[in-house]
Amino acid sequence: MKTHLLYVPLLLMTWACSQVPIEKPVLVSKSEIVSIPADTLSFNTSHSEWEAMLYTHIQPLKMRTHQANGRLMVFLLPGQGGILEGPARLELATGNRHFYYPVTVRNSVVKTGSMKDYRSPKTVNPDSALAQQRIVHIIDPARNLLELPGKGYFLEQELTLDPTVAVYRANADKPLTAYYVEPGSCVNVPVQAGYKKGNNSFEVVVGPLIDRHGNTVADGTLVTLTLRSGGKVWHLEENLQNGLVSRTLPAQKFIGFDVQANVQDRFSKTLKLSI
Amino acid sequence: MLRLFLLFLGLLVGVFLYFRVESQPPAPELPIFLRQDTIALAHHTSIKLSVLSKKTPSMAQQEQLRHDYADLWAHLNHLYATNDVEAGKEYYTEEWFRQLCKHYEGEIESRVSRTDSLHHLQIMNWSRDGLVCAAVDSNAILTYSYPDRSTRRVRTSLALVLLFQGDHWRIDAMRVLDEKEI
Repeated sequence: MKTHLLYVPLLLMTWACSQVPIEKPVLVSKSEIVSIPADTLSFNTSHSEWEAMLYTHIQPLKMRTHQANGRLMVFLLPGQGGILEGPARLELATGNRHFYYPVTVRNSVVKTGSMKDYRSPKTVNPDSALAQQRIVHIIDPARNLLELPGKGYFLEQELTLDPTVAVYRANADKPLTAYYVEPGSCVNVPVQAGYKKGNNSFEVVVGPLIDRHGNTVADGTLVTLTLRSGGKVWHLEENLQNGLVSRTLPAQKFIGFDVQANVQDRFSKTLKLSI
Repeated sequence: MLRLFLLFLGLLVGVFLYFRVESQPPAPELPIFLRQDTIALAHHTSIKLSVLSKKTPSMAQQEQLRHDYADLWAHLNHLYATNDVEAGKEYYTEEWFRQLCKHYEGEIESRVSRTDSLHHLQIMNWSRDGLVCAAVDSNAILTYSYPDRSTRRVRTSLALVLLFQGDHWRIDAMRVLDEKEI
């Protein structure tokens, strides 16, 4: 039995010596930059059954291999989309042997980057400020940050917006980039009152109310009509619609009353309701 | 006879239990704020933050950026080693996540790993609404470990765009500006 046991290490040594050492495949292409998927990396190797993995800065990508006549070809299937460009490592593996090759990868199919135009604030009230911050980047579909022509990777600007009320878009074809210029406060409160004989009433019209940039003041703005007579005061409140407020007052009740309109701290002249 | 009856009864109970288990709805996915991010919890790095933008974020905003940026790197390292695109999706914008999924062919056995020990994050642009941050990580010290136990240490410089979505900063775009072995 002891004699047989002596054969075990001998057999193991024989087996170990029979294993052919795997040489590191030699990269044939000497170019440092590899364009994916156009370029195929070519290696000289006598061994077969290699697996290839490309470690970009972010993610490992399984590469396809093809071997013929002692040459190993490594490539990425087209149609898988672009990759994050930059330094990377290509791994060739067979069994428990792994070899690594430094490469710089870039996309061979150059796709136009889309411009990201971020605005802040999104809603501008011209009463306070028309200033808006703009941050711009260009990003390609593979999420590579691209250089802005002559401006590096980052651009920040301070814009002065047009005070005209509207919904604008930073990128005309992207609704998500919309920003809004809203109307400001009114500068004057014009008021008129006329007698209508047909229904024996006064029609008081306030407006049109416009802000200092000529925009119609926002719908829903509260307009207060103050009516005074003989030391007594009444308030009527109305919401602005299309810059106007109209109120009909029965003549037999309101004749001789003083009427004045106001929006917050802006007051109209005072009119006397008379026939 | 009794034995047959008991066998039938047992069979009935078995069928009942089987269908009861089968009809159970799948366990709902917990919302992010109730989940424990074990990958981020196990990660440690040092981040120096500099503000070079016109708008200076508040200290609370800076702290959140620092925290989220560290968690982001925990997931980027995990992604690098395993191609597990799901684990860190809370730290990716939708477009970044879509890009990762284009190259997803299943997770891989982790052979090469990466750790990050130091960052110098310089805020270049900060939007007034606090939702956009463009930054340069000028001194990311990364260590790569290979199956033969060899390591490689590099100093990397990165340009990044981060967007605040949900309750996290998420990575939207990147550019490796430089990488040097140290």
